[in-house]
Amino acid sequence: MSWLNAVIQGVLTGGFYALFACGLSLLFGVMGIINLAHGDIAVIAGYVAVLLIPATHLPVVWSFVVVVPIFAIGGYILQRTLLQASLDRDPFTTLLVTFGLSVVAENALLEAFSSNGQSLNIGSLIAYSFNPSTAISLSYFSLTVLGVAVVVLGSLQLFLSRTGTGRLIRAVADDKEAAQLVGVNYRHIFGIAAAIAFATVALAGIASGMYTEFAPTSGPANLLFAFESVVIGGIGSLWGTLVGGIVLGIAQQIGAQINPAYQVLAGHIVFLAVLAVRPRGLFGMRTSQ
Amino acid sequence: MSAASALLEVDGLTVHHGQLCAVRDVSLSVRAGETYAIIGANGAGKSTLLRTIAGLHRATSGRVLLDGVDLTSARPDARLAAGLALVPEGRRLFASLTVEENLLVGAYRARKGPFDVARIYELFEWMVARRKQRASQLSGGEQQAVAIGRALVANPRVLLLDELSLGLAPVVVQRIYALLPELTTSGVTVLLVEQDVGQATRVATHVQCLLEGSTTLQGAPADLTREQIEAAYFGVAHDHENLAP
Amino acid sequence: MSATPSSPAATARAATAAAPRNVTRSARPTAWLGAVGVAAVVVLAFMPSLVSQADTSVLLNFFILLTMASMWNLLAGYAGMVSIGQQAFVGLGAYGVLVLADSGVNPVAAIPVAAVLCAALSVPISLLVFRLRGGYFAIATWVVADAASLVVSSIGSIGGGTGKPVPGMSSLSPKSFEEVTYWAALAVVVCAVGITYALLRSRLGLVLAAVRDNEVGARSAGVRVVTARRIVYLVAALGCGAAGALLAVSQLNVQPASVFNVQWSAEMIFVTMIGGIGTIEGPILGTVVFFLLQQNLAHDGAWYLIIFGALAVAIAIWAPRGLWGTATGKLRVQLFPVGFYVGRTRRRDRRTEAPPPTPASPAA
Repeated sequence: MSWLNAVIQGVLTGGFYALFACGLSLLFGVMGIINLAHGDIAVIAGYVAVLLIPATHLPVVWSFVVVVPIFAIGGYILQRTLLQASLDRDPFTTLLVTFGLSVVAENALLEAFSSNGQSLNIGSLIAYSFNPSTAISLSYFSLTVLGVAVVVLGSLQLFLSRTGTGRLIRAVADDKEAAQLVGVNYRHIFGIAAAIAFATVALAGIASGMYTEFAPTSGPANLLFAFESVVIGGIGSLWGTLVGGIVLGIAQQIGAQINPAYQVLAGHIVFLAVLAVRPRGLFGMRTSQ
Repeated sequence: MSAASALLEVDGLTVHHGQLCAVRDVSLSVRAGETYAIIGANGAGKSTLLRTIAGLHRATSGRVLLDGVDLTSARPDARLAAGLALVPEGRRLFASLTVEENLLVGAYRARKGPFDVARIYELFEWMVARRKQRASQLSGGEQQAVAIGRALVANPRVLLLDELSLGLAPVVVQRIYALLPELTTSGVTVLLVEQDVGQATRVATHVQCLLEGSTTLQGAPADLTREQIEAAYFGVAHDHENLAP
Repeated sequence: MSATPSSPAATARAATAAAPRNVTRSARPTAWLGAVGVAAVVVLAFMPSLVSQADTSVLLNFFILLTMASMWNLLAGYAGMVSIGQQAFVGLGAYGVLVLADSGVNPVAAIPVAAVLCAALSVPISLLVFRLRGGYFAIATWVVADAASLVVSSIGSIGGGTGKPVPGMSSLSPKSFEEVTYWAALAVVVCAVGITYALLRSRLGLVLAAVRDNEVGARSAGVRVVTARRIVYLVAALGCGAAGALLAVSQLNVQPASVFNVQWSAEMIFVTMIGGIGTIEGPILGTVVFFLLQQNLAHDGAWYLIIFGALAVAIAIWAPRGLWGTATGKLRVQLFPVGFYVGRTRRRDRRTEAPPPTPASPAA
């Protein structure tokens, strides 16, 4: 039965991964770039929450209400300034710039906060769970996060397909030059996409920070898992990202069942297997070119 | 042709692609209501000229004025807001969007005017049934129509058409060109680039020929002979004695 | 380093017979640069006897980083593949030496073997990661490195997660050890730069330039793009493997967290970007700057990485050709000429060139 529990825990973890991944997927879909600092943004969000909580007098569990909008704005600004400047050169430069920013961010955090782990303490809320059977434990928090992931992804999908701004984002993603010709300032649209991406990954970082510890060096793991979720699920599909996150989570939990040291490796193996056998991913539409 | 009555004026435009000079000191003056055609062979610089007027390329020197307003350093989206719309070469529709969505995006910064999505459906009746179809699923001619509709919906004062006939069957091309008079009566001035000289001279009120980036001829089609146009198009010096038997 | 013209008469014949223009590998004679290069290597070889042990150690680490940077430059600057996972081969090279040393092989002799093993491993890895492009390719290389690190950490016999010392060097005196490791590093870096230079001057270099300029065009001209990329990936693995092997031999201890650390990628990338990507001279200059900076900031923990990273970001956006590229600017000075120059006649040729033919003189 512990195998079943492993699968269930994997599904729940998938919620976290999907939340991390949707921003990465969106940015790539709209701008064709990978933000290598994506995972670090989540970590920074965690630290910002840690710093702001005493000031806002909000219960810790509501800290995202303050932090997420800050990151949305920050994302817009960063996109319109630094990232647009590097995009104007080429995607190659953007990769290197985001990688550089990632390294700078991690080391700056190390200088500011030391390498010890931190977490966002929501008290006893984290411990509530119900046990359908003796071997299976469902944490309410994780279930909530999974629910949030579904809602976020669904909302994003609806936003893109039904709203005017969403339509503009899709148009810019298809052909930004043609979008300019019909009066769309694509840089502004890129900023909006970045704002959404930063907001979702900040939310993911806070959720994750409540669930486990985070440290300045936690960024890369976030990035790798988000990335693996996107590739497994299929580049270009938002719902694919959710499925990919769940598959990754399950793979990791099953690996952990075999040997706790194999958890992350199991995920890597499944990722590499998908690359080998079905590079498009489960629901992939576009190639990654 | 006095400068005061020109709606779109291009003054000594020079455009470079890196080290290559694509447009060499070209000037033109389009009055309101005209249909102005720029003709020339492949590589003559026509598309570059149009794209620079639309703002996609930066000019090395020269000016672009719309109704007296200097747009030379304006971004493409600002030029659209001023009333200059380009239907780019190759249609460039938003492939993953539906026909209707393409038109709606075109209306994003629409000015006031006679054209809206409903009017486009009147112009192209077949679009109504197909409006929920993805743009990528349309034929070349249909895409061209949607591209024109997308530009019209913004109610431009000057519509720039880049190589409409490229990649389309002659029948389809004729049908599209048959639209132009209707646009003119609705108040849209047209500046078009065309490789097909016959088609251009049939619809245009004024023609300008480019060769290797420079203007070699201009005038009303009625005033120009076929030989003159040919000579300007190919750049052949007309020397009857040298013509081989 | 440059094609010398044949006799003046032949040059004159060529000038009159509308033959292909004079094609050379460099703008001006650079044979003397080759002599300077050899002299520099000889001087470097004598370093252990000239400077302190601490300085020799610095130079050794300089060579290791320069090797890695040259490899990354080859991958990203010439072949357009941004990899952030070269630390996979650094780590595998280090562990290759460990495994061989444990079996009794002399660690220094194990260096080339470990490097070749890394090159061999890079082939199946390339089959996987080449399925992705751009940013996805980059992260995939990182995943591979992480996977390699995890696999190695799970193998107890080579030290698991805590690492293991490298045996086999204890018979050497400290001075001999210092010299041997130094010369091994010097040999590796000379080979790394030399192989890069040779590769880029070869047909492969031309292929890479064509692919970089227009991949579709290159493909339709019959260029085997994937093969070219795979060769470059293999060479980069070879170089990084050798660098990792040097780490193992010089530090006498190998642990996963250190040899598979993504920090190696950070350093090789920053160094190359700052020095000048896409030039052979760039990584050399960048590594020099890096070490100067590190020597002055070494005691400030993460600060040198922050500064260096910020510098790399700024250069990537505003001076993308790096220090070397921007400084040499339009002059295109190349200490390691890898291009082709067409129709440049040198002064000597002009003086001996035949006058233009008149109708009376015989055509060649």
